[in-house]
Amino acid sequence: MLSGIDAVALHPVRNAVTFACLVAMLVPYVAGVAVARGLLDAARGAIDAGANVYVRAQRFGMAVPMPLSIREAVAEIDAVERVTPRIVSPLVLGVRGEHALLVGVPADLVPLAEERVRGRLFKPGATHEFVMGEALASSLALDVGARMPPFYRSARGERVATIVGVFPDDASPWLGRMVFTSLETAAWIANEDRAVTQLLVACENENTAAVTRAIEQLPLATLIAPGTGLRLQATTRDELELLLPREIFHRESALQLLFMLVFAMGIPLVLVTSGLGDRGRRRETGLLRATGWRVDEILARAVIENVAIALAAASASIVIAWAWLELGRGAGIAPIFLRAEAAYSTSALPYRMTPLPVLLGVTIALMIVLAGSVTATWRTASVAPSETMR
Amino acid sequence: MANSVGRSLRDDALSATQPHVDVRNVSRVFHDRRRGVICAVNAVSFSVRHGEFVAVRGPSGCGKTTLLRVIAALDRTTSGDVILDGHPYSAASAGELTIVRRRLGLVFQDPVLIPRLTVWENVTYPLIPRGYARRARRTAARTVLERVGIADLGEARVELLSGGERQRVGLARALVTTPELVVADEPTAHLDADAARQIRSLFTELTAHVTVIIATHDADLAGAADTILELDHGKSATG
Ligand SMILES: Nc1ncnc2c1ncn2[C@@H]1O[C@H](COP(=O)(O)OP(=O)(O)O)[C@@H](O)[C@H]1O
Ligand SMILES: [Mg+2]
Repeated sequence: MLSGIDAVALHPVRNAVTFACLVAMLVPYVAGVAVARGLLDAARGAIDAGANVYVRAQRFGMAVPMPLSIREAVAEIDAVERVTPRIVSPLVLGVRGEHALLVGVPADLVPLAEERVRGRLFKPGATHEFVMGEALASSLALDVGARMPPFYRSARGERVATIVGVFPDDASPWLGRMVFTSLETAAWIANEDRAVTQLLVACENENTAAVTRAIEQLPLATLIAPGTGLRLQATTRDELELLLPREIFHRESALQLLFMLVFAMGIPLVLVTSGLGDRGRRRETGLLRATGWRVDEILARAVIENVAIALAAASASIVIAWAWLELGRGAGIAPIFLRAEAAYSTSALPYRMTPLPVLLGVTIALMIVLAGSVTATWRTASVAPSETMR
Repeated sequence: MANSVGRSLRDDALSATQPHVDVRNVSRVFHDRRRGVICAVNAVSFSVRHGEFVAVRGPSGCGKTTLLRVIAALDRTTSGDVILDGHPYSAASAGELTIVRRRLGLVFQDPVLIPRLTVWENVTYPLIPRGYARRARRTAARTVLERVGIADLGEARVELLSGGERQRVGLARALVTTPELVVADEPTAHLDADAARQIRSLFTELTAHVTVIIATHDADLAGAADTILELDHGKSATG
């Protein structure tokens, strides 16, 4: 029935307000969910590129550096192919306090393609050479060849570091704020001379479970010293895949909840707006009834009118959300999902628009608008149409 | 063709024996919170022949509008019945009353027009549920607008019309479905003398083809009627 579509233009104020309300509710939801999905993808990708088992040390439930002697013990476990130590330490750099993540790794294990790095990778040893993400470099106004002011002090005095390479950060939001350096330099900076933050253990896939068990059963009392309270925590890639995105999932479900809440509050709002010009609408409904429209025909007209509005609002929301993420780089969304200390770069906020949440949004939009206007129409249409003859 | 002639012969036979509209002892009582029980129409009876022009006359508040609403199937009676072509309203379901409304043309005191639509769209809005396509509606509009003398206003927006023009649009909308019965509630009440005269002459032309029941203050309009029904406090004062 085209009359329903035509009817959209008959109540421009009411319909424009309804449209605007829906868009205001849908855009943050669509954009937020898309970012959550994008971050999940990025996190999964990052994990898949890594090792089979991650080992960290804990004391009384807190993450602590792990003595390097453990590395040798783990390397000796059957089926373990390679053990890569890694030092990870948060840094605050520059006068504006830029958050960054220092990652010390053996030079041949930097997760970067060398040809993509402007400049070169760092040399092994305590060379004090940095390779950093573009976002961080530009916010510090530093480039290849620049010297970092002595931002770190340790018991051994001060050292000036040189930036030898800068890499593009379009791969993941975290990469952009990372500073890669040699294991030795990182140990020097983090003051963890004979310790590392984690071990990346590579083994055949089918041995993952056995290796994990063997690591957790290592006799730490004889390896280090009795009574240190140190415990090893070995996490498989699969487990990590479950663990790592949990926070994002968490925030996504919080967002879903928030969305429901907003929508719940939106219902009365839309009810009010659909009551805009209610008098005119009542007269119109009465007129239609008086001139021979059946109640179901009037309802069909209202349903089509409002479905058209809801669909238009949903399409507009998708386009606006996309523009926000793609052209506006999701300004304002990233902090919902990523803590500031996570040292991410927003130049590459990943997002993925999936049909399901979009559909859900559209459905809810439809339900609300229909609930708002169709009930109102039904109420006026089902009473005697005598209103018109006054 | 023969069939349709046969039918019209039979219809003529019917109309000779049966009134078009039979109002039987109709009462309509309102329960108003402040004013209590209001008997707006009190045991009114009269019948209208096919093609008859009936004027319902009486002071403001005497129940004219209420009576017309009941006849136009916009409102139910409290007691009594209206019988249209032998079919009593009291036995009709809500859906059947809608069918009844489709056979009527209604003209209101203020011709409730839908803003933002053009004249021709307003006039043919009742044709939409009758399944007319846009093109067919346009054609129907042209004919009926010509009949009420505003053929040139088809594309005008209704907000811009004068009172007399609005009432002509209302009349055109009532006629677009080619009804057998036109019910009009004070169609000239809000018009100046000139516009009222024009509407009046349209109604007198109309009565050549259809049954007309009209409520009016207007002595001239009532004077053109075949029968005048005087209402006073909901009761009929004349036959
Ligand atoms: N819906 C209603 N509820 C209560 N009282 C009504 C209603 N409609 C009409 N009335 C009352 O019924 C009486 C007749 O009204 P109406 O039929 O409009 O008179 P008229 O059209 O002759 O001026 C008036 O007293 C009016 O106030
Ligand atoms: Mg009246």
